[in-house]
Amino acid sequence: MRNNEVPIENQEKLVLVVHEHWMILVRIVLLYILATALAGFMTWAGFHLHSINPATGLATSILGYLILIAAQHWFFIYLISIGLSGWAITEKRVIDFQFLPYVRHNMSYINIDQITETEKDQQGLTKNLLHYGDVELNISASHDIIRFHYVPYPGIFVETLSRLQHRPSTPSS
Amino acid sequence: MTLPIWILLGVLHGISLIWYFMVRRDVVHYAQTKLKLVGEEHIHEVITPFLRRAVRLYGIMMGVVIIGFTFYLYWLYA
Repeated sequence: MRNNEVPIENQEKLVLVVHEHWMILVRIVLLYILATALAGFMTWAGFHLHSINPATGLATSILGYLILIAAQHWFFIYLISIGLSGWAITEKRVIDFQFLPYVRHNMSYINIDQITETEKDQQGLTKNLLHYGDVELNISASHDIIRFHYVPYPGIFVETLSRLQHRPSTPSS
Repeated sequence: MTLPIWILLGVLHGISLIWYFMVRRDVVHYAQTKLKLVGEEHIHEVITPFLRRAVRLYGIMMGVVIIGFTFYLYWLYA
């Protein structure tokens, strides 16, 4: 069951903090390079068009600038969002942090006691070579499957959860 | 270069800078909330070197693009 805005109790100890695998950056970096190259081409074209038609040259240069500045903002916003998103496993809960400036401020809590099944999906050459994959959590209280993507070393994640699920419960003081 | 183009450029630069500082503020706000949850002692796991560098590089790149493009247009059309 996912609850929002529930503070962690003071005695709840943090066990593991995981950030998304760097592989998630590959697509973003490639798109950024592509957009920057396009902006560079537009500026270059604007420079050469200037001698033929100054107005067209200026418009092309400004368009190049707009593409460049949009690419900058998009790239760094995603970079920062990856830096702040991730998962934290405490003794009692799994916390899923999903952040995108001014768009997504999600924090979801999953009680470890309510997890009935944990699966790790690490299929494919790159996933096994670079040690990342997906983790699926089945929750007893709902039919939803919670899936975390780009989890680095998903085996450690699943093993930690399993260890916490099967350890003897301590009496609360 | 004519005045309207300078004004347009100034507005675009201004919007970019305002957005950059707004993003910074939002990042600090979310990081503080996250820090309250996981505990102050885990500050290095919330505000990672990657995050610090990303925010710093964002500012540097914004500066480079804004100053670079202004000079480029000034040199080209002045």
